[in-house]
Amino acid sequence: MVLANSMVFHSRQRYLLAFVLLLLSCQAQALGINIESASTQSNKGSYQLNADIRYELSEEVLEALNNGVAITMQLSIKIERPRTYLWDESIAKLYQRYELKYHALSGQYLVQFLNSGEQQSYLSLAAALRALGRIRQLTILDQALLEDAQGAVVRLYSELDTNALPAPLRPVAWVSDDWKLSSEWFTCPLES
Amino acid sequence: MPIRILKRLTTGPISAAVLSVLLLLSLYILGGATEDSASFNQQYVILLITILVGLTMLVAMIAVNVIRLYRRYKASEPGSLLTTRLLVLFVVIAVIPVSVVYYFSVDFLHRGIDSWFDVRIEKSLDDSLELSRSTLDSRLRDLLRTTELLAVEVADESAASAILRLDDLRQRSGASEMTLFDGNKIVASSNSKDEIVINPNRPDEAIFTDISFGRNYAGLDTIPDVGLQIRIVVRVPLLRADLGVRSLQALYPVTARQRELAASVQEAFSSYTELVYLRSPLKYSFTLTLTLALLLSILSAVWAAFYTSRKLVAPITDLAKGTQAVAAGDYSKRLPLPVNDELGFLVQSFNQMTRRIERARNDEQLSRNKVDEQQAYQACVLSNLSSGVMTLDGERCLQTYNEAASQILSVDLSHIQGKSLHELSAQHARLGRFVEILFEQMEKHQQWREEMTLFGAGGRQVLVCRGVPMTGALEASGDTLIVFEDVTTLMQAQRNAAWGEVARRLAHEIKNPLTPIQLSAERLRHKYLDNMEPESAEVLDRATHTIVQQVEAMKAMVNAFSEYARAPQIKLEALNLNELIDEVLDLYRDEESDLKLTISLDPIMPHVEADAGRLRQLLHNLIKNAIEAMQEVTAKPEIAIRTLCMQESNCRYVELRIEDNGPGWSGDSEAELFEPYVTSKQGGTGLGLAIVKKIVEEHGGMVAAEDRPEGGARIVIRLPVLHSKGQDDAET
Repeated sequence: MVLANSMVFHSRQRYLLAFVLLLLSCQAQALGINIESASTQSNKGSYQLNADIRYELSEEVLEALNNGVAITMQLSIKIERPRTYLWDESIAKLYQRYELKYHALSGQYLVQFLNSGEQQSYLSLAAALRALGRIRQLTILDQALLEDAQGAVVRLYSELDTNALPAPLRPVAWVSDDWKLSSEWFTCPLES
Repeated sequence: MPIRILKRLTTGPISAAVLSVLLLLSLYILGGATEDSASFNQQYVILLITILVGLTMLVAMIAVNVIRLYRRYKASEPGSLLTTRLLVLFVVIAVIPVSVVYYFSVDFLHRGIDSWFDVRIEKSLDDSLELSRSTLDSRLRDLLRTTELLAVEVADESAASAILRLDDLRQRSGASEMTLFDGNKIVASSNSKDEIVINPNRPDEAIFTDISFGRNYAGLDTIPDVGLQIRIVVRVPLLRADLGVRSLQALYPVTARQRELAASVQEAFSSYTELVYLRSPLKYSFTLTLTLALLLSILSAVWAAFYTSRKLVAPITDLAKGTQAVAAGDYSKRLPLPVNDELGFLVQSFNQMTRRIERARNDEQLSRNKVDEQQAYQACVLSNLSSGVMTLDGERCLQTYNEAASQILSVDLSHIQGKSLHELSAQHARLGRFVEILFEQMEKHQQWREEMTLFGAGGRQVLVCRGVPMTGALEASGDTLIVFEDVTTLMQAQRNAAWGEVARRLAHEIKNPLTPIQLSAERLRHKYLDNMEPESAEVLDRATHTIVQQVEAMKAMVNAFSEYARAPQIKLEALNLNELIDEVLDLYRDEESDLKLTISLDPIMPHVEADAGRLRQLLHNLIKNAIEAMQEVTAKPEIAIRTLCMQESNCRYVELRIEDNGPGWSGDSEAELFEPYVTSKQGGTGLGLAIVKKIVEEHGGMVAAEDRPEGGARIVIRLPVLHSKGQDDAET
C-alpha cells in the first residue's frame, strides 16, 4: 500500500515536472522581445534613457504586418525606489508607443512614434525593428522632480499591444500565444 | 447562511433574469466591439471574461438544479417525474430551433464574409498599385539621371563653396532640399525655404552603405513634417583626392495631386489586404459572439425550463402531498395558494374539501366522545349498583353484565360473555335452577318477577329476579334485561329482627307472671305441706317442687331469650385475639377433665377491633356448645382451636376455627343452624349459635359452619383486622 502510494507520488511529481517544463518552454517561446541593455544618464537637467531592445516577430505577426495590419509596441518605463519591507515606491511612470506598419506603395516599413507623431520610413523590416529597438537619449524625468536619485531604479518592459489590433484580430490575439510578444522586466539603476 | 443565499440565487427567478439580461447586454456590446476597432480596447477582454463568468454561473445554477432534481427523482418524491418530463419538453422545444438558427447563421455568416472579397477587385487594386509604382519608377529614373548629372557639378566643390553651388543646383532642378554628405557627415545643405538648414533630413544608414558600394538610391519616402517626397541619393564622382566618398541627396516634392492619389491607392490597397487578411479572424470572432449568444440562449432556456417546470409542478406536488396526508388521516393540511389560475382553483377546492372533512371529523369525534362519556357514565352506574344486571340477546347469550352480577352469582361472568347461559349452568351446577327459571320466564316475552332460592357451597341464597324485554330500538333483537338482587341477608335480618321482637315479648310477657307463680307455689307448700296427710303432702311436695323447678327453667329460658334480644351498645377497641382466647381457655383447662384442648395460634396476629366482653361470650358459647355436643357421643372429647391471619384479595382478616370430634351438624343447613330456636340438643334453648352469629355480625365479620371430613363439626369465624374495613361480601 505504502509502495503504491509512493509510486503515485512519483508519477505525480513527474507530471508536475512536465507541466513546469511545458510552462517554461511556452514562456521561452513567447519571449519575442528581449531588452539587451539599458542605462540612464543625466543631461541638461533631466534623466535620459538609452536602451537596446531586440524585437523578433513571430510568423503570425509578420504575416499580419505584411498584410497591412499596424503593429503597436508599448514600452513601459517605471522609475521606482525599492523598499525592503514595503512595496517599491513609485516615482514616475511613462509609456512609449510605437506603431510599425508596411507601406505597400513604396515597399517600406514605417515606424511612428505615437507619443509625438514623428514618423520614419525604413527600407527593410530589420532596419525598422533596429530603429524601433534603439532608444537614445529618451528624456524620462526632470531632475528637479527627483531630489534624491540614490537607490532609484528604472524598470523597462516592452510588449506588443494586442488591444491596439483591429477588433477582429483581438480574440485571436487573446487566445493565441503567437501574439503574446513581451519582454521581461529589465531593471537598471537611475544614474546621474 | 451563504448556502441559503446561494440557494436563493440559484432558484430565484430575478437573479437568473438579471443575469441573462446582463449577458445579453454584454453580448450586444461585444458584437459592437467586433465591428468598431476604435473603441473598446481594454473592455473587449473584460466583456469576454464577464460573459464567460456569467455563463459559468448559469451553468452552475443549472447544475445545482439538475443535482437537486436527480436527488428528488432518486427519492421518488412526488412531482419529480412530472418536473423531469416538463423540463425535457421545454429544453427540446428551446434547444432545437435555436440550434437550427445557429447553424444557418454561422453558415450564412461565413458565406457572407467570403462574398465581400472579389478576385477582380483584388486584381484591379494590385494593378493600380503596380501602375502607381511604374509611374513613380519612370519619374524616379528621370530624377535619378538629373541628380547624377548634378552630382558631377559638385564633385570638385569644397565644403565651403558647396552651399552656394547646392543652392544653384536646387533651384535649377526644382528640388525642395539638397544635402551633400561626406560619408554620413553633412557637408552642406540647402532647402527651398531659403533658411539656414539646421537639421536636414538624413537618409537611412542602409542607403549610405549602398552608396559606398556604388549603388544609388531613388525612392518615395515619407519625410517628417513634409510628407511624401522623392528621395534621390547618388554618389558624387571622385575628382579630388582630398575628398572622401561623398554623396548627394536630393528631395523632390511630389505634387499635391500625386500625393493624394498615391495616398489613396496606398490606403485602399492597405485596407483591402488588411481586410482579406482579417477575414478568418473576423469569422472567428463573429462565430465566437454567435456561439456565446447561442450558449446564453440555451442555458437561459434550460434554466427557465427548470424554473417554469418547477413553478408548474409545485401546486401539483403540493396536491399530491396533501392527498397523501388526507389518505393518512391528516385533515389539517392546507396547501399554499398558487397564482389565480385553474391550478389555483383546484388547490382552493382541495383546501375547502379538507376543511370540511376536518370539521365533519371533529363533529363525529365530539359525538363519539359524548357517547363514550355516556357509556362510561352508564358503566359506572351499573358497576356501582348493588343489584346484578345482565342483558341477554335473543339467542340467550350473555351480552353485558355488571360487577355485582358476578359477585352475587359467585361466578366470573367474563368467561361466558357472548356465550349461551347453558354454559353457565353446565359449569356451575348450583346455577342450573337460576338459568332454568330465566329461560322459562323469557319465553313469555313480557315483564316478569321471580324469587328463587339457590343452594351452593356458600349456603342458601335467595335471589329476587326481574326480567324486562328490551323496548324501543332494541325490541326486534329480542334482548332481555335481567336485574337480580341477593336478598338472603335482608331476609336474614328481617327474620333476626322478628326473632328479637319475639324474644323481647316473651321476656316481658312471660317473665312477669313467672315470679307470682313461683311464689304462689312456694306459699302453697309452706302453708299446706306440714298440715297435710303424708300421702297428699308427698304429692304436694312433688308438684310444687316441679312448678318451682320448671319456673326456674322458664326463667332461665326467658333470660336467654332476652339476652339474645338485647342489643347492647358494643364498645369496640383494639385487642389481641390470641390473648383473649388464652384467657378464655384457661377456664376449661382442668387436669381432671377428659376434655383435650388443642390450641394453635398464629404468631403473626394483628389486632382486631372488637368488644372483649362480647367476644368472650362468643367463645364460651362455642366451647360450651361443642362440649355439650360431644358429651353424648364420645368418651374422648377433643376441641381444636386455631387462629390464622388470612389475606385474600385486598381484604385482611383473621380467621378463628373451632373444631370438635362430635357428631357434626348432621345435615342441618348452615343458614338454619344460626337461626334461633334451632337445636339438635335436648334442653337447649337454640339460641347459642344464633347469639354467636349476632356477635360476629356486630363486629362486621362472618361465620360459617361445616362438617369436618374426618368427622366432627367446624365453625369458622372471620373478623376484620383493625383499620381494614370489614367486608361481608369478601366471600369467595
